[in-house]
Amino acid sequence: MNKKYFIIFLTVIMVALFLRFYKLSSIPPGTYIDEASYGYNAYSILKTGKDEWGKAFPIFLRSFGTYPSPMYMYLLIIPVKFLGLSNFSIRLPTALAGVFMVIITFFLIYYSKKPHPVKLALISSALLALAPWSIIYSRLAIENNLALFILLIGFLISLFIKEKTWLFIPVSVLFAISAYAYAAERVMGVILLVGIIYLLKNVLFKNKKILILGIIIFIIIQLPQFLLLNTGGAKRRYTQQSFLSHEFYVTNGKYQNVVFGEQIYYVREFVSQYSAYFSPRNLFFNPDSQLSRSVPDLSVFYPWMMIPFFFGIVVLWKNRKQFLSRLLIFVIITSPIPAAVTRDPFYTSRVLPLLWAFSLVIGLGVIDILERLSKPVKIIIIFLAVSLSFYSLYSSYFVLLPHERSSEFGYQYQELSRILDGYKNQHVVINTEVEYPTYIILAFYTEYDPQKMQIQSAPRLVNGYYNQMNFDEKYVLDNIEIRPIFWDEDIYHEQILVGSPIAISDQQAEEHYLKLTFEIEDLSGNIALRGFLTDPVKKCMPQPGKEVNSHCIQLKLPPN
Amino acid sequence: MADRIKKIAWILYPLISFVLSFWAWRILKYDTFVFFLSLISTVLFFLILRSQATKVAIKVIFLIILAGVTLLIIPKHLDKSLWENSSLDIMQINTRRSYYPPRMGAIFQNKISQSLIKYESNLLTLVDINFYFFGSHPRERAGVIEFEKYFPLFLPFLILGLFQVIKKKFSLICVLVVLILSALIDSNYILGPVVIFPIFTAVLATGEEKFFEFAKNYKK
Repeated sequence: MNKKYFIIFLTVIMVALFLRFYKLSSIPPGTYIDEASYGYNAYSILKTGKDEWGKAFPIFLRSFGTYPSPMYMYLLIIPVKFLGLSNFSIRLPTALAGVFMVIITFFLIYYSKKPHPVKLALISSALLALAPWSIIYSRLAIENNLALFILLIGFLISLFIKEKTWLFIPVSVLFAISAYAYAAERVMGVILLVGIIYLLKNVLFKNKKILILGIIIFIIIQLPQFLLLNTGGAKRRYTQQSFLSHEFYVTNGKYQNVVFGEQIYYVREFVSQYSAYFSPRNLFFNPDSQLSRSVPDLSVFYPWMMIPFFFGIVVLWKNRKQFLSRLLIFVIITSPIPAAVTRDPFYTSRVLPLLWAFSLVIGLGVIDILERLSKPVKIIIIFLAVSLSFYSLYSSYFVLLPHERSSEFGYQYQELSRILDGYKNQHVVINTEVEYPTYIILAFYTEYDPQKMQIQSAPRLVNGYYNQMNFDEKYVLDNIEIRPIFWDEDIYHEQILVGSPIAISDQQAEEHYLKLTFEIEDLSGNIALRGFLTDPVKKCMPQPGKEVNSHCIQLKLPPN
Repeated sequence: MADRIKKIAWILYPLISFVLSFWAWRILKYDTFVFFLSLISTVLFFLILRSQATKVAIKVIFLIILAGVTLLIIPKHLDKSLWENSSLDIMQINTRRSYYPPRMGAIFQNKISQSLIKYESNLLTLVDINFYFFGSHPRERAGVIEFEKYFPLFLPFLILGLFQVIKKKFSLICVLVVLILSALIDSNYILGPVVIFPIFTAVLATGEEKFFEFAKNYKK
């Protein structure tokens, strides 16, 4: 690689670093519940060797009953140890993975053939550095970016299996451990291993010892997960999200009165979900409907990328005899399969390998287009594309996202934990939103003692760690109680009641003599939470025509 | 006689694709004239796609009919929201402007950007496979009555057909121009982006013909 290309490569890395680390702790604002769960459990394992439920080194993390893969949590132990529990420390590994993926992608393309396609490698890594999907997932402490990072190392190593067959073993190891990084990779790891064996069959079948050893190692690494396959925890993701169930068909399915209606429904649903991952409307315009995994007005790629995308598909097909092209085609065809059996439409976090492959396809298209143009036009086009990308990214990610999605990321609870620091001598009741694990965000920000957490959590595991699916909303963190407000009781004790304006309305506040103590606005300026001090004395004042509440009898009322 | 039948057997592909599409029957139900124009232009565009050198006359007749349908439909069913912002749009623009540093808001949030987003949305819906085969399922648009246009089994034929479209400049330009124009049609128009219907059906038919050619050659 000559000096000019080396400088461009360094610039690409700098851009990737900047876009992944700039304001990492404050954008996204707050901490999403999944992030808080990973962070707090890492902290708990660091301090006690056990997670919040008192389980030593779990294979699936129980969390609040969602059972995600645990690898990201284990990885977090290191930054949490050295940097403490914070938004930055828990997002650090994913941000680093995002930068390294840009570097790996460069080398993956660079070494894919000879002479080395350095321009394509630079363009593809630059596109990845700028791609909205990569930035979104590199700034979110969830597990899927790490899983993709592991797969990419596997892809890179697989390029050299032709020369050194033994490299099949580390590839099998990486594909196997990716299953511990993200649920979709439990399926994708197997599919990709089969794919690599098929694509390199001429080499691997000549050296069957290595092939068999690789497969055996893959199975051994998968064993701990495999042994838990029958537990509720392992099946949780599938049962919670798949449409392949008779109950779901009966409730939601079409073709109820058609012969083979159920089977037709499943096939139709699968094909429609699968093709949604190839839809330009979804890829280039319509963001993922999961508000915590998307940004306003911007999907996973910039709209201008649609043009090189179509060109790239043609180029990919023309080069289909090359190993990397075949690998990309394989990834593109297979990676939406696990996501396509779920109910969520265009759920991007489940298809990161597909989005990565599409980034490379766009790179192929960009090179194809640029080669047809004269130098001045080329420069104008590149300038326009880069400017448009930064324009959209700045607006959507760095301005609109923090303002419009702060509540989604639990920003209000970050503020609440800061405010409650000044109310340590006061009893506080935080109203729980339906099925929203507020406790984990507060435990995360207050660095709540994991041993105390384990004492109250462990007895709830009546069905065992891997079979306890229900989510209990009630938690006590020292002076803070997290539970629904009981209006016939809580207003007769002196304490602070915290809830959203819907949970505690102005009318309720007036009726029960609640005194507004603090208000927390989200970043768009809307009130997200309010804290009220109860006034049991006033509430218990005898009123004509009203009976004295039994809670008031215990109170010593001041003389009238 | 058999040779003569073989020679005109090609017409079965566009006719079958046309008849088997749900969209055609919907058009027939609401606008018979457009139905017939669509039928003729489907056959003509199929001819353009399948032959190496199409007669200029066929191209001209196709373009005239297409222009006719376009003029008949688009001015009447323009998506006015593309340039008329609702009070909700204006409120959103104003609120969002306050998020940016002073004087920057207007660069990012303005009536033009709003219109561009709406047009982009319309255009990209037209290149969405699910829009044609699954009534936009699983991502149905809010406030829009979606309908399935083709039987999902035809999907592979579409992909095969598209490879034929990109081989010819004329057909590619036709598809692009019609897409750009159809994005101006109101998404709530009962017939949908009907201008694109003949082109799309002809592409499907071409895919079918290619598929059966492959199948024949594979047998041999």
